[in-house]
Amino acid sequence: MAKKKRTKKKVSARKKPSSTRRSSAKKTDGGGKVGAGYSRVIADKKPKDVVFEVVVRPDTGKSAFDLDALPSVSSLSDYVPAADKCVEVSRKLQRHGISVEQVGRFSISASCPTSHFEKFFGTRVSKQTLPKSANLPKDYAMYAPGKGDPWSLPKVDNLDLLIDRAYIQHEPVFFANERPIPPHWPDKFRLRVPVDVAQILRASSVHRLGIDGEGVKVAMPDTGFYHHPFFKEQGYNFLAVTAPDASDHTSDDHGHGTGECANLLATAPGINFIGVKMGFNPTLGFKTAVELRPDIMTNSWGYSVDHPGTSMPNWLKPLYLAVLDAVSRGIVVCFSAGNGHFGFPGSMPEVLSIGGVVVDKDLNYSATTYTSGFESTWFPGRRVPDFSGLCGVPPTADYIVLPVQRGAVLDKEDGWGAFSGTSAASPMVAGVCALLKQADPSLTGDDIRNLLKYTARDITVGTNAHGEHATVGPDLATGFGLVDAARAINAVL
Amino acid sequence: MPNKTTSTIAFDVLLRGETDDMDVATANLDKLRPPPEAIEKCFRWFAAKGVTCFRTDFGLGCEATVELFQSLFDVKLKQIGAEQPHYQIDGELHISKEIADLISQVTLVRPPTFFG
Repeated sequence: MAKKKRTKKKVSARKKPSSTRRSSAKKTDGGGKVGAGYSRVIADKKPKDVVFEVVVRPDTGKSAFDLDALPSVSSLSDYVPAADKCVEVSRKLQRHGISVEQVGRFSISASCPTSHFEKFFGTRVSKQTLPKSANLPKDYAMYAPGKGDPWSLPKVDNLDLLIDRAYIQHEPVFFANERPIPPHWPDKFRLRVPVDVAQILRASSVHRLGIDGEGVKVAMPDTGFYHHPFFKEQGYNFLAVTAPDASDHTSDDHGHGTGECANLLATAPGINFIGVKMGFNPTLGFKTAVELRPDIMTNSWGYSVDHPGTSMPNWLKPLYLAVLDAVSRGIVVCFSAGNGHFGFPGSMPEVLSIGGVVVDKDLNYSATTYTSGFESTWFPGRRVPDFSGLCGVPPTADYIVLPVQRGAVLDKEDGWGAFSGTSAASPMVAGVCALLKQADPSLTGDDIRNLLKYTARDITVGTNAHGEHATVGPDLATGFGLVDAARAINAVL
Repeated sequence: MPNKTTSTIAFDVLLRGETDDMDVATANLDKLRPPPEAIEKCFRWFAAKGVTCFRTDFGLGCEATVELFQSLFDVKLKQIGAEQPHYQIDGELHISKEIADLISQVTLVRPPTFFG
């Protein structure tokens, strides 16, 4: 799935490659008529398509590429071709199989298959050697005609007289600490946010109906919420605050909170998100979130304490009361069930308890041996979980590529990590709750629980960490199954 | 998550509500809420002793050094746990008579597990 998205992006993404590599006619690098530039490639493989800028020759006889040319605001008109000339060139390019994306004052943004580009300009596109001192990402590659490669303007329809030069454009390097787009690591199958998560949970089709969680406030207490470029790129409403006993809301040295909230925003990109950075006391972090009066809370943490033969210790009573208080205020509270843990507060009957389902590259759905599913000892009759989000498999649940602060504990490479226990599943389900809340603000927590239960995709294959088997109907392996946003929304519209 | 030195501990002080003797649920939760004046009195008492306090609906969230906690409650703390070290109360807490009637329980906070 991730691969599919990347291919699509190359052709139509807003950010098309940019950068430069001039080559010129007659194998020279200064006086030629066409150059080559930009195309970001992840693997060592020539890109299928290239995007490029075609600079139209101005009528003044001047060229911005002349060695003595010094374009400035006052002399800019010297380099502007007649408007009808740009249109003429565009039409001719289209006639010769080149897609015109935009006609500007100076140049035309165009694209075509790489092989066509090579034929049209009589050149060869190859991977260029980049200086080590450029400090580029490991997987950054630039494909363009090389310095010694042939190059000529097409001698058809007078295009060689109308075009000044043409250069392939390359993907820019973002001068942030982290890349804004999840990387594709080829060693194994992984999901990427936001598209893969939204599609598998069938939230994408709900977004297309105009339901994306807008107006719904969701709070999440966790390790911190770093302002990763990914969040800005996606345009999320993202706010981070600290609990009274925490400091520096801008940092997340661990990475857990920053990464997991991307699952929430994948399923409900329009929500008002508030991340609460916990300090020393998680109960205080939770209560801080409650005070913000959210509609929904998601919690990817807990204690492995609801074991057979035990009862609730006093030290958990404050947290217990805080969770009950949140529910009594009408907040929909989601908790991860745990990764083989006997998770509390995820075992409380008042919360939505979230387990995990894994989906492989062939779209086979199954329970995963990474996640919890058990009968609560502390709350008789309580079966954990209620339903599930997406989750990885042992040993590390390295499944969903998530943004983290560079250098954080969970940073795998370039400000991205892959960690996906039930910590990932709870925010996903919370996102679906937000979609339902937007569709019908009068829904209570119990209403939402019932809607999600009876519209979930039943999982009938696999076993969880406690040895519980997935069967037809609800079970301890995945609860009622994988949450299905589209079916849940259809039930209320 | 802990961002304090290991000698700083967090603890919760639950205050008495209308009744403490019941099974708690969202429907009867209000009976557990202490009167605001009780919260204020305890807040000022702990703050005066050097404890960092935060008011909550059911009591106080507090932070103090191990030494201060031990002297306030005349009790010893022992450190346990290898992966997630935390403190445990060794013996019985003694709460000052000035606020003892208002307090239901004092408990140490433990670090949670992140289900990543």
